[in-house]
Amino acid sequence: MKKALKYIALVFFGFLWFLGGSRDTVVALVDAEIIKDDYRYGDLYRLSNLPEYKAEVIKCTNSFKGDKANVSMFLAGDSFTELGRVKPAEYAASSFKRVFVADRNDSLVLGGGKKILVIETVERHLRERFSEKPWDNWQKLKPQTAANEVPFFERVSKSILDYEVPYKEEMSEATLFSSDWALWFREKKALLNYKVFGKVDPKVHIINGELVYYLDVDPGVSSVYDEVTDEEVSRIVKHANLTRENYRAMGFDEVYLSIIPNKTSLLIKNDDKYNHLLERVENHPDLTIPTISVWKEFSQQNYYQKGDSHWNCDGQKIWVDKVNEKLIANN
Amino acid sequence: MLFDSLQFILFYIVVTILYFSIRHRGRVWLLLLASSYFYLVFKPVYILILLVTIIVDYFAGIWIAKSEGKKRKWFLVASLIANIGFLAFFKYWNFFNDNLTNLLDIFGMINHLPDYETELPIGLSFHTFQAMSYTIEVYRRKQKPEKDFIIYSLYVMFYPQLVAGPIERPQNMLHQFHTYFKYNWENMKSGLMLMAWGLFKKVVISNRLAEMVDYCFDNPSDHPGLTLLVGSVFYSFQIYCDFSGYSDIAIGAGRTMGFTLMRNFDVPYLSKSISEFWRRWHISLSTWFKDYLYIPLGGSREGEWKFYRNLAIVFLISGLWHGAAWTFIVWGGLHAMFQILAQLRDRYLPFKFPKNDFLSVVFTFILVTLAWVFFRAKGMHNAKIILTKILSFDFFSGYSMPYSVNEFIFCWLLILGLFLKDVYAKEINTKSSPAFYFKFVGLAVLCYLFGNFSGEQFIYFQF
Repeated sequence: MKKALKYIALVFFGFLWFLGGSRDTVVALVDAEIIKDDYRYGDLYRLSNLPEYKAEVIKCTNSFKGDKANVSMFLAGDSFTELGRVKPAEYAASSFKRVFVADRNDSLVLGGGKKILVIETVERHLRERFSEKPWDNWQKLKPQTAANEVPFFERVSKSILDYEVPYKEEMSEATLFSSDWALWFREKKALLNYKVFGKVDPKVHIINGELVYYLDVDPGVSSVYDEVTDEEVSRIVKHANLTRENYRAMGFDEVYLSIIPNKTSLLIKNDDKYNHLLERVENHPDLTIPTISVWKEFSQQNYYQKGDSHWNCDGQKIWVDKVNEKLIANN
Repeated sequence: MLFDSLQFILFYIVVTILYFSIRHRGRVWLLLLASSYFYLVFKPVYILILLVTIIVDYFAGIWIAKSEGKKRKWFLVASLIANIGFLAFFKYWNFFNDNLTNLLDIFGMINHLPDYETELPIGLSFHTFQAMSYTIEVYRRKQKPEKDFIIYSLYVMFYPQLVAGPIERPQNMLHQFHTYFKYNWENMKSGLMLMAWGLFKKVVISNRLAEMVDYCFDNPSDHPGLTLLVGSVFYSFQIYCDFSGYSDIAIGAGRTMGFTLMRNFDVPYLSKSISEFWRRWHISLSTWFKDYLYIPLGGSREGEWKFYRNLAIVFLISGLWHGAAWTFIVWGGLHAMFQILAQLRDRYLPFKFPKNDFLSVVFTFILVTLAWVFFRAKGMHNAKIILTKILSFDFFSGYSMPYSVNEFIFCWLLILGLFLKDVYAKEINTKSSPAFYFKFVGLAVLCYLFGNFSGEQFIYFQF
């Protein structure tokens, strides 16, 4: 009996450990509903575990109705447009490709037909992506030549130096602690620390009764309170315009910039300390890159989910509709 | 891999179950593979350094034992050069190079030596010192050379103490790796209890105090004296809980498998003098310096002034061991100075201070805390700001903290609890009784409820 228990424990904990190194297995187990999705109540709730902000994230089921425009849409998108959130079927483009906006993509193949590039970035990362230089994360696939081939020794040493043991703590955590009974314990801990010490997870803050992501608030370049000079705004605008020129020269027919407002910005839009970054860029007289803006709509109504830093289905639809208008106009 | 991570808990459970499921030779291999994995998780490439030093010291040990006379000495020197060479390059090169640049600059000369952008391999100072103690002990004929390469590798890499000690001696460890430990419930209980206590010190006390410490030491010029004083006192407890917590988890993890690792802390803040403090703080390092540096230099046997010189050398090098920065050297120098002054007082003052244990403990704590300021501060300038504000008794120009009042009170309660535990229950009773299980479960629950699992590294990892 003792032996059997020992080996059961070995297999169980060994499997949990293995899951930490295998994202694919965790995703498969979530899809098979063996493990609960730890983001099901929102990314901010997942961090804070405060029951007040627990609300199921509704998966949007919109899809584009009508004839799709004969254009290829290339989306350099932030977390707002992850494929799990916005499905390719929602866009009015006959062809669609998305790569995370912060990732490099050196194998861009453009193909024929009309090509539209949409660069979607959340407001908090705008400065990182445009202050210093034009956005240039996507480059055309270069033919392999002896000149640009990395020498063998350099390749091997780089792979040794860069090697990391495949393990993500959050994978094991998601497996063990995302079920409803585990959340009950986590909520008790979160509530205790909040009520007694006024403390929430350091990656979230509570502003005007709403849960927001720490990067929006904590001192630093992504903070809504960080002062942005007019000179920097002009630089961002200049680099955004240059981005458009560069990608048009590369073969795109049009390039759009879409800045998604931070949840926090909308909560403090009348606060004197807010830097108004998004509005200052979008309304800058020198801005020539066409924009897809949702600021006006979002500032009139709350389109964010309760326990999440992203938009709800209505907010998402507003943005997708605006993108589709542009796609159809380019048909 | 951090001891306060879920990854470690899973790793520990799997390795320990496997350990008790296989035969002796398999266990040695298992522990070596597990230790390699443990180290690889930090930065895989640096395991190559370990591999090189293991190979060098393994053969050096055998050759030292086989040879006589000068040859014997040369093999030892070669081994020490290999070990210290890695330390010198990864830890001290840029520091000495920067200082050389500054020095040459005074004479209008240019330093052409390059700086290297290298990351300090985790635990380098610890495993290097442990490896050095092996070759030195073999040279002194106090330890037979280990013929089994796998066991020697395990001596250097044994995961519980690989990256932050205790820095073990071959006499204590090597024979244990040759021993087959049967599963023992008493060891398991006391090991797990020690691990739980270590985890509590790290995640509940140290990580909580760290908030105030970071708040003060990151921008000391923004804060008044009282805030900096509290921050400095909190740092004394933060580093104690952080490092002794790590040691407890290491010793506990070893104990559950049957291994006995040396004690590293013995309630240091109850010391009545600085020299006593060093018999209670980071014992494995202080005894290392005593055995391999202080005594070979002559210790206290060759006259008064040589005794002071030896103290100064040992503590300055100890400071440098902790980090390649002037702040660490000053920290070591202060500890040497305190001890030398105490010696001078005892020898030359025509009268004796009345003895009061309580006041001695308080006074020693104050000195240790003031010296920690150099240890923690980001540079000499910041240390100067902090000490100036504290020592000028600038305590009435306000106070600020990153906590709510409740949490601030809670921090002091934790410190008080720590003291009471150290005074009244140095060793937690692990006799099977409802009280034992209550304490164990209680600690686990407190760790869960009040633990701050921030993923912050242990302070001593950087050394």
